[in-house]
Amino acid sequence: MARCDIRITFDSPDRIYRGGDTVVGQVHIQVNEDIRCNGIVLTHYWRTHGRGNADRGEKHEVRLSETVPLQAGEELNFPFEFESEIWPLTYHGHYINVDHFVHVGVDVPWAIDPKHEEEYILLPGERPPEFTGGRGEVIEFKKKATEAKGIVKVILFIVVAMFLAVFAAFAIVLIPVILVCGGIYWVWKSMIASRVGEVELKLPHLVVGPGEQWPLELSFTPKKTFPVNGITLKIFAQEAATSGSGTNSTTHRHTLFEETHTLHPGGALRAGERFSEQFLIDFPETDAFSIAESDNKIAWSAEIRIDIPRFPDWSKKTELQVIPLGFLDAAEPSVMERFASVVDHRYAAPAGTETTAESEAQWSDTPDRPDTSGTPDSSDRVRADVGTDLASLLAIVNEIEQAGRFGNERSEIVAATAGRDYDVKILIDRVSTTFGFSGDDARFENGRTIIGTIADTDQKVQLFAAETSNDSLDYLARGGSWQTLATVKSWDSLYDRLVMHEVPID
Amino acid sequence: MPAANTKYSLPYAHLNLRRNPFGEFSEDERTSLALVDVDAIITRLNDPHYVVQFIGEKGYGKTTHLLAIRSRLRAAGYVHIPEGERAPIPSGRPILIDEAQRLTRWQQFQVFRSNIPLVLGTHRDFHRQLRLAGRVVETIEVQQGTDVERLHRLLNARIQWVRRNDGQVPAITTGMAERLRKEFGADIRGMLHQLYAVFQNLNEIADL
Repeated sequence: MARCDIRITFDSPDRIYRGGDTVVGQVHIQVNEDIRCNGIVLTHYWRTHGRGNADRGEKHEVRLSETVPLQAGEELNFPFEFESEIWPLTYHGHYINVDHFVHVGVDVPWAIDPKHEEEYILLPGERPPEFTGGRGEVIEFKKKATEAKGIVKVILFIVVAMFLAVFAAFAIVLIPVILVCGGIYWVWKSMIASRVGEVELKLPHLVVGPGEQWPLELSFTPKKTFPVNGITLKIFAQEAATSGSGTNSTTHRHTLFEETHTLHPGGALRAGERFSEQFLIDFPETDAFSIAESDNKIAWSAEIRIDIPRFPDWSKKTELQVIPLGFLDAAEPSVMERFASVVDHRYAAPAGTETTAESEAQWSDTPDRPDTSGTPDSSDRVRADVGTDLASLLAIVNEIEQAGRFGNERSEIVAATAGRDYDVKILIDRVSTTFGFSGDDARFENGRTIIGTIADTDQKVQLFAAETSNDSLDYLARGGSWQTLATVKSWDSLYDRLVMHEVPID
Repeated sequence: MPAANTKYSLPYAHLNLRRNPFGEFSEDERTSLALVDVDAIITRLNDPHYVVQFIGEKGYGKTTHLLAIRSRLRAAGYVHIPEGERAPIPSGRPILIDEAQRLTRWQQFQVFRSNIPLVLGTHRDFHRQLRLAGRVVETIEVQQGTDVERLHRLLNARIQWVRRNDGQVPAITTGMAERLRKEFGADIRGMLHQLYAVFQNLNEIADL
């Protein structure tokens, strides 16, 4: 039997592409017997694998060759290029994996067609059109394959009609049962309302980016004085993968992240005293973006709970959608400023936070990366007079804060620092790939963005690093530090932070 | 996330694999990997009165047997009856019915009394009804076929199926197969579930 070896190589040796990039490569085919093939077809698509049934995306075909003779020992090379998909992104989790594949099939008459597939890694790039950049509404991806066709609609109609017919037939029995259940539910709700009154929960951002600050507002006026064990927020993420079907189906669940923040400690809430607080929660870093395929789901949620001892708790669970930060527009200034202005209530260190061990493992960086936290940059450029620079930088921050929010004063203060390089040491909160860099210096376009605080201060900073520093920055995790020369570019009023640019090595 | 599996690396490349070998496989893959001896049954299926029923609990391999037979017989008709639903009986010779306990009484009457050989995967024993319909019945309890040697081959075949390149890959030893047989009996699905977790946490290629 003829043997056909197929190899697929990519122009990017690590096979990493961003959404919308052109994937370029070659297909190498070698046979050990002369055969005539009726065509060579390359297909690219995404597919899940893991504990659940496979979900897959649309297959895109590229014909590499029509009928062609393949001669023994000769290697034929077929170049290919196509535009990568933009969603979903590559994900390797516990029960769920999402991968993008290039598949090559050789059509051999009267024989089993040789085939081969290879994966490539897709990172966030171009924003999918479904994501508008807004944050107020969870976005649903409509799958072409699952759109209800005419016959499905007819079946659905028949099922609903049958259900209603059965309901009507048993109405005498069912209506009292429904009334009793409804009554119990009403009593339950009334009991809670008799304590907390009407609770108003505002979550302006239902679509969230990893690592960003997530606003939340909770207000209510207790009707009675009562004790609480606390008011908490639980952020929860779970993989759910379904295998099999019908009675043979099983859904496997795996908790990816679970973190409980104490928004208000235990104590008494007094009747008539309005509780109204705004919080900015540090949303966790993650690459487990929300997906909702038929048999594979990654779901994020936030649950607020007013824990009342020996009494039903008030709670509300809301689905969140986590997508790459680059797919989101900047948060609306009106929202963030309103929350940021409530400094006393701003959520800082999550003292009452409980995080699962699993999630900590997930969020800390990959194990194959050297641990560089706490290791200062050994670059020759770093000067020793950090203290002097720090003092002058903080003086500028002070000036900016004193200046009016509206008008040119702040811009003028920043402009006055032009030409001055500051030696800064930053405590890392997160490092991410720079998206949509708005400056005109191309050296920063494919670089990294550091969010953190200036060492020994509470001053937040956003620093755009040049691409030349990617190697050293990619190994830094939260808690590490990085020292560099940087210039002040602007002041971010939304987050009360300095925006700086690294002074790149030329 | 597998310990050495990151978003920047190809999945399971650290084990020289393409995916977790004990995850969910497609029907086609399960057919390709079926390690069941159905030669004798295929010969007997030439008899129009012959019926073979594979009986066993969920996850013991009934469907795998049916899929293996279907892959060998181009003229076969196959149906899996989903829970709570009715499914039309396909045409074909023989007819393979998975979850046959969900056949309606009328369908049982029609199918059992036809002159077409049948292959049934079922939780319920239809021996008496089939005999009454004049059929020659063979009943195979699928758990009987799950011996350690077969299990060992079956588990390693899954690993080989997802091999990434030439070279070493993790392997299941006969000792491990014995332990799994003792712990799970004939419940292959239970074994796969446990091995999935083992492979998720495997940092390097090793014999297990």
